[in-house]
Amino acid sequence: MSYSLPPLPYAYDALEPWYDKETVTLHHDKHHAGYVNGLNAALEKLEAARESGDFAAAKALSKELAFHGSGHVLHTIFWENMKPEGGGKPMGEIAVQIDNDFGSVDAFKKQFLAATNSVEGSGWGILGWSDELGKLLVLQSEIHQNLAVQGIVPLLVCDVWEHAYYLKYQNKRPEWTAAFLDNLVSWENVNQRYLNARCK
Amino acid sequence: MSNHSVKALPYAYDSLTGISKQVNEWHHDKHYAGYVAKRNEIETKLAELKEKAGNANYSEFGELKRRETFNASGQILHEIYYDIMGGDGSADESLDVVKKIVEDFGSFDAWKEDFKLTALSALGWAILSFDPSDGKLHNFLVDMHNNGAVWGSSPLVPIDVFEHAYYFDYGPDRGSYVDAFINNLNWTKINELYKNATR
Ligand SMILES: [Fe+2]
Ligand SMILES: [Fe+2]
Repeated sequence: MSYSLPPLPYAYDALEPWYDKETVTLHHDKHHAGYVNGLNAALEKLEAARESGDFAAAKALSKELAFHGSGHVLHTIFWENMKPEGGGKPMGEIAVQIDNDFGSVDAFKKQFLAATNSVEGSGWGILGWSDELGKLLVLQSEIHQNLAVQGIVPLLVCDVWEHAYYLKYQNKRPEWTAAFLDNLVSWENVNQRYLNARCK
Repeated sequence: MSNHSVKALPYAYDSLTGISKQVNEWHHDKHYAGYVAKRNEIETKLAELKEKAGNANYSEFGELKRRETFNASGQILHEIYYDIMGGDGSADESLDVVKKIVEDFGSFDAWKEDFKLTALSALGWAILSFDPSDGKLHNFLVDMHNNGAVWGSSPLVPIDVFEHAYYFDYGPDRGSYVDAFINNLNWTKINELYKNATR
């Protein structure tokens, strides 16, 4: 089976003025679509390799799979993490867990922004749940797949590839990440992901 | 120590074809200047660091050293990148570097095709480099600024494919940006770099 690009869960201009229609359109229709295609291509090549028994390209294909697979997964979460008129305070169980693991919402926000703003090159800021560690963690991810703690379930992800913000915010990455957190995040979605991720 | 300075753009901000004044302003004045500033800051911090612990998992010293190569390479590559543009892209066949390209890649167009493919594949830079270990020109692929460098080789034509280099002008159409870059090359300048590298 192959994967297809999930439709944007709102209109292309629904996140204005914080996230402009042009960026959202390019970001979803070109970039996210590119990762879906890349994931399908990597899986097809791996299937062909299994059929022929020729695994000479196993290393390159494994890397391709991690890159495009993570790109697709993170973008899917990213779109669902946002909503028009978002932002505000965390609600539900996740609010309790944030207080528990970071001390306060304010401390969490500061750490999330500091980590996301300082991602080297292209990547993501990620709030994730580790069932093994029993903790929420703020992590950086370089490219899409590097610097993860294994087993982490991403709950809230902020894209800081330049394609995510350059047309509107240029090199002012901190303005984009602040707008994302203060005006776009759907805490209902983050909370639901947290409830789904937590088994223990 | 710690006094690297920003080199001025060697031509007007609006003088490149297909790379806008706006992109040059941000790219040169914010991004490139940012690498120079961070390189200075890191060198100062390293000099002043009180507890110099070496540790492969994590140490402040180790992380500063790691960032040092990122920012130093960022500075160096951006300076060459700007130095070799400002021309009209015409590669005169009498130039030594052009002769060498034909010799090593088969033809100028074959080089261009390989260079473009490399640029479309990189997460950082594609670089036409002279490698003295085999005496040949290569298009090397570099992720970030510092991952994929080949020791001892000299960068002659580095193209920046970070999204800040083209996204404002071209959106996701990186290929058109690569074409514009090639059309702005100053081959006389590149020939000088080649001569220095092979002297
Ligand atoms: Fe993205
Ligand atoms: Fe750059």
